[in-house]
Amino acid sequence: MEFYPIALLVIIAPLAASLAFLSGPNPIPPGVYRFGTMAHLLSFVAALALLFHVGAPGMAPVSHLLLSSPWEVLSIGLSVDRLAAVMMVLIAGIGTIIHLYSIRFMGDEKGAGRFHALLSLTTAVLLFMVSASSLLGLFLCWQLLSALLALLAYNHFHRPTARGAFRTFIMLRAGDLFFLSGLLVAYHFYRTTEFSLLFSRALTHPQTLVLSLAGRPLTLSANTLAALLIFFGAMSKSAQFPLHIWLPDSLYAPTPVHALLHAGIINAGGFLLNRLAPLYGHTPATLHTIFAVGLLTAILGACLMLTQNDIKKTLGYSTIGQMGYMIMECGLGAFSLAVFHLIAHGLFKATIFLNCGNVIHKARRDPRLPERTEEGEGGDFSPLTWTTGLLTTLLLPLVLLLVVHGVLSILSADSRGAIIFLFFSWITSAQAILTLYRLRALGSWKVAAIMLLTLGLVTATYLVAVERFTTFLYPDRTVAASYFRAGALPDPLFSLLILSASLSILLYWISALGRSHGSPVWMNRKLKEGFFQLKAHLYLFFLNRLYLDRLLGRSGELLRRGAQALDRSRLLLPVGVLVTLLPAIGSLPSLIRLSTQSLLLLLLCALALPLLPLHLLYRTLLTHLPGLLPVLAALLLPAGGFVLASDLLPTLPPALLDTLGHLALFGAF
Amino acid sequence: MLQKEVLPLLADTSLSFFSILWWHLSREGAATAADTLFAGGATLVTAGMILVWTRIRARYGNLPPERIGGLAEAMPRLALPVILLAMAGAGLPPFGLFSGFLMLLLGSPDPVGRPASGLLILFVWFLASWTMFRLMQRLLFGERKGELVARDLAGPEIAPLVLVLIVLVVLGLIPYLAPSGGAIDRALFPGKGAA
Repeated sequence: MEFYPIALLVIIAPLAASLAFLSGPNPIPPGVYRFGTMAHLLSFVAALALLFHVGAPGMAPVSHLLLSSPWEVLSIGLSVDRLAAVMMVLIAGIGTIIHLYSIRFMGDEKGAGRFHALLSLTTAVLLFMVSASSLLGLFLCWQLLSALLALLAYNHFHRPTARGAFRTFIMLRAGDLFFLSGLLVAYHFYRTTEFSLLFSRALTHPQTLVLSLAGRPLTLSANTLAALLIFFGAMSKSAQFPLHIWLPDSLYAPTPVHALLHAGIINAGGFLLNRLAPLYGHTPATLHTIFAVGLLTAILGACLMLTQNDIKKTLGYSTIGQMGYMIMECGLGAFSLAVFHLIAHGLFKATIFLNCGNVIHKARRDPRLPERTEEGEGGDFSPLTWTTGLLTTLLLPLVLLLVVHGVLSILSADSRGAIIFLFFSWITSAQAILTLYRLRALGSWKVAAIMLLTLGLVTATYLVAVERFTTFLYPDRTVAASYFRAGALPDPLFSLLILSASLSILLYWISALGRSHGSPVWMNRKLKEGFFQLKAHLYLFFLNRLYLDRLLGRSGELLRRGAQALDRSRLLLPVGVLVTLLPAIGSLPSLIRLSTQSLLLLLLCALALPLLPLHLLYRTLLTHLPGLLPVLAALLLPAGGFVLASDLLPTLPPALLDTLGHLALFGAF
Repeated sequence: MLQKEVLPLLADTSLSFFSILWWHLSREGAATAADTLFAGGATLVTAGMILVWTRIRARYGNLPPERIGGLAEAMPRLALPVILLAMAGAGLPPFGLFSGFLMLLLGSPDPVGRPASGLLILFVWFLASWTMFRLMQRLLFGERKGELVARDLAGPEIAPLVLVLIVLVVLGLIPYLAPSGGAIDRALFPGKGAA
């Protein structure tokens, strides 16, 4: 049985819902809501069926060419493998929940139809993105998501929301262009963007790019360059430092948009890295860069989260931290773990965001809310809890260090994956245990027992569930093992990472012990004052979001002033044109040899199809003609100029064409 | 990017588009299918946006967009074409400008072979996206100016905008509509296989 109609159904169902909402009357009749719900449910059920189909042993991906083009690179198709099927189930499931939530959330709002249409369309685009068979197909959806997210975040009345939506679009658009650059590099060297072909060509015939830098040749691996550029594109969608600043600004958008953003759209970066794992798996330098960016984002996201006093911003920064964590996993070659993480994060973050709307709503109506909870290290000190916490958070790093250095040989030689899983299970369980210790809501022996249980549960999840998930995504175990090898940090660096994290945990336990006895005993007064000053400075630094917004604002202002000064300067245009034309002095003889007719035609072309510095006629007509005449001028002039240029260009000498190219580049800028 | 008034802003944005076209024409030494699509897309986006502005100007006079603002609520029938035109102008699929630009870049060795010009073209493309979305935001979103009363577009006023949008989508889909080996295919893709 052909399964591609099922794959198509997964995407088309929310698309049909979108069209129904867009074309339906306002307020939305119950029938349209029912149709929308059925469509989303159908999409989810079809995605499940697809997952069972492609998940069966020995099944090939479901592939189908949707749009064929005489120019093969533009052809667009579907290819649903296990990774795509898992993502489709996640997106369709969360899309259904968000749709159901939005029905009550929007009620009879004036723009409910538009909002539902955009939500369903975004779900459909996400579904198509994860099932695209080529980098180009993925890029089409990637770009659309940038625009759709901005449109979803726009609000008619609220100025900060509009500003945030615009910043979202611009930051994501910057990422789009990095992605496009990576796509161009990949296509330039391997003449395809279809995933399987691209991977096989990149691995069997790796190419290099030779650039000239200050007269010296600079050789770059095409694989590394493409992978790096695409990763920079992924950084913006997945809110990696320093391209994360759009995320907190988008938090004025309606709650369902957050749920979709934090559970679906933001995972696009992680998905992209997973989709291109065969490429990244052969560029260790890129993986190490990815790891460094992820680590920095995870640390900064967590620090920023701790200083927020707004529930949505706290969750927003938590997402940034989690995305950093996920990207770190990719950087260590643990691609399957990153998918596992993004599924878990998507599910819990969607739930939290959908709930936080209710919490905010209740708090607005009831002044007693939110209730103040006792938190902190005050109260009774329990040696049992403290000792259990210390041991449970520092046992795993000790085991890890012993394994890495070969002292403990409980794992086989080629078990880098298990080491990485142990590392992340330690980080995850340590976070949970430290949170548990801070809350201290239970009796001490119960807390100690829960700490042990947490450690066991998290470690078991990582070593059993994630291991099985890895086998599911990569049935050929050597593939996953090769990614782990590529992402492996040198042992001394990995040990340093473990030691640094262990040291910070140890410091926490020592300070907790000190606080329980009144004050940290090892500090004298001067040191204590210095410590508190540093803490206050750091708090302000993170509260002000690392001053990145101000930095961006001031840079923008400086740029604007510089551009205005250039714009006011009457010298810019003539000097620029002269500088552009200087290298073309050599082409003067060919210009002189040109017939008068060709020269006149060229001038006419440049006037009609505007080319600097002869664009003024076009500009004047567009800006000064009355009524609808500017529309006519905008239609007819370039069309006529283009037809003339098509005939004229093949007759022009190459030196003159070069000059035109230089003028065009200056004019474009 | 610095223009406050709509028509000069559109004229300068289209100059950027056509400069990209001139750059490609001069590199290739002849017009290709990509150039045709790109020229068509840029022309229609500019004409469509100017048409929108003439409709707005007929209602509000020659005010800067900030003095109008919030049209998404006041003129919902105008808002959808403006959003779609802005998306087309920002170089997003499925419109002709995107298809043309993509084919233009994929068909040229310059963006990778001469990274400086490639980077400049991509930067200009980014600025065009910025300008188009900013214009859309200034016209459609934000606070509605209470003292101004607007009448939404009537059917005959929308029709040309719809036509422009349809042609833009058709241009975007042309690479998929031309049957392989047919007349359009031969005309549009003379170098087929060479890519």
